[in-house]
Amino acid sequence: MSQLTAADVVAAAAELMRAGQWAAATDLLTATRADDPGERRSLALALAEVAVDRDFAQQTDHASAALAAVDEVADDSIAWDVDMLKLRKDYANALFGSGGDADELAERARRLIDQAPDEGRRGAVSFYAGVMADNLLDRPDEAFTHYTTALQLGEKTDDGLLVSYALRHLGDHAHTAGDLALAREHWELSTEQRQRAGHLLGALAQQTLLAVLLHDEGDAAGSRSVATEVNRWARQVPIPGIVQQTADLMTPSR
Amino acid sequence: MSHLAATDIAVAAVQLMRAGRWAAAADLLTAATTDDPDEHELLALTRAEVAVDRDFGRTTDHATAALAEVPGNSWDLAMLKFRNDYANALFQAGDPDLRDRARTLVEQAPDDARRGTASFWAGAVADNVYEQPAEACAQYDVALELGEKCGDELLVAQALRHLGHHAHAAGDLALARSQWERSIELFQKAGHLRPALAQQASLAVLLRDEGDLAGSRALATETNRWARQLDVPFIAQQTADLMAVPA
Repeated sequence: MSQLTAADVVAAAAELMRAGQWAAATDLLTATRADDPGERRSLALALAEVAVDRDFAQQTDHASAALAAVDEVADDSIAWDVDMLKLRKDYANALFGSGGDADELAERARRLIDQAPDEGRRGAVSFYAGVMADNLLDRPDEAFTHYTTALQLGEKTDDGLLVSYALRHLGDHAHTAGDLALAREHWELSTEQRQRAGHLLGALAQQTLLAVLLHDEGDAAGSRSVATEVNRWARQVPIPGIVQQTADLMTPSR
Repeated sequence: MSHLAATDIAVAAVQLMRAGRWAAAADLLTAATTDDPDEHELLALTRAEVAVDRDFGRTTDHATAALAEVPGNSWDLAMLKFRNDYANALFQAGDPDLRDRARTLVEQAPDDARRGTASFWAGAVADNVYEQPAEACAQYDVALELGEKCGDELLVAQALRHLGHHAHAAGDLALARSQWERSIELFQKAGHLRPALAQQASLAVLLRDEGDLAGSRALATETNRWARQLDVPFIAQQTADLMAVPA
């Protein structure tokens, strides 16, 4: 046996999760035995985060069991984080069409914004409030405000991934408004932040948008070649949502 | 404190290394302590593997110190030292004598999988240091066969990448495409980021040679972006050249 702190294990698992290696992250966390209840809580919380992240990517359900397990060891120190993971899981369910009350989700997001223990977490939940306003409630102006808050807090707390999330969705708004130059600026920066952070799914999702943009800019062959390679990569991981989006872009008639 | 087996740590660290998260892999391995000599050797050996991989194609030198800390005289350690010296010969300059060492590693390999790995590196040395393509292809064929036999998909991917280069050099674009597409898919499936990007650069070359200049340029632009963020200069350079090809 070897010894190390749970924090070291959790940091490595988070990196594996971002690299799209959800099974390896889960294996590492599951193999770890902690003496201390605080360390056991950290490991259970990390397992639930990996499950929520994986379910969003692969439209599976690993999270229900993992969230039930974390409930058994949770205390006040991780209450906000557990509620945030549940919100993310329920948002994914609502987004992928298996129900959920959009107003109730938005209300939970509002409460988490009020109760956020620090600016990093407030930025993270502001981002989720934004995607809910955009994708579930059809309130683009409210979404834009949340993304702007998320962007500011992401920059202030030096959280490159949060910045990349906000820029992806702000870029969507620019793209919808027909401002291709601003969309390109936001989307390129978002892509680069994700690549620097080792976030594989996020990088491929952004490359998909860059392929859309190439098409809209009139470079049909360029759009097709990028979409073809993103599609190939997403099939190997696999990430079904990206496979589907890029397949549409690969069709020569576009 | 938390406890886990060194093998579980090593597996996670290798996966992080493949994802291009070399610092995270090194941090995990450095954080672990153990009283067991076998576990200590495994952690040190994996740290050296991460360091050799991290240095590849860069001007950093994490490997010298990490290799010096590995106890014993195992075949695995000799293989890592060889890979490090090959990378130095390829990207900087260096002494070789690599051919005899490659032959010895092949002969002394303790199993088929490791013989396949050594054969692959013997091929790379023959190709890129001694410029003997026929010998290189023979070694890649052995590596491919042993990779398939042992179910080592990364070894298959590496062999196909290099066999595809020879098909491409011979003008057989269709064969190059089939070998390179299978290679990149195996790298992606295994979560091996740097060679996946290197293969993407090769596919951009192929698009150019197939006459799709706009497709080549767009793909090279995105591969270049990723290689710059990962900080892999040789891929950034190769793709920058493709981005500059006039329409």
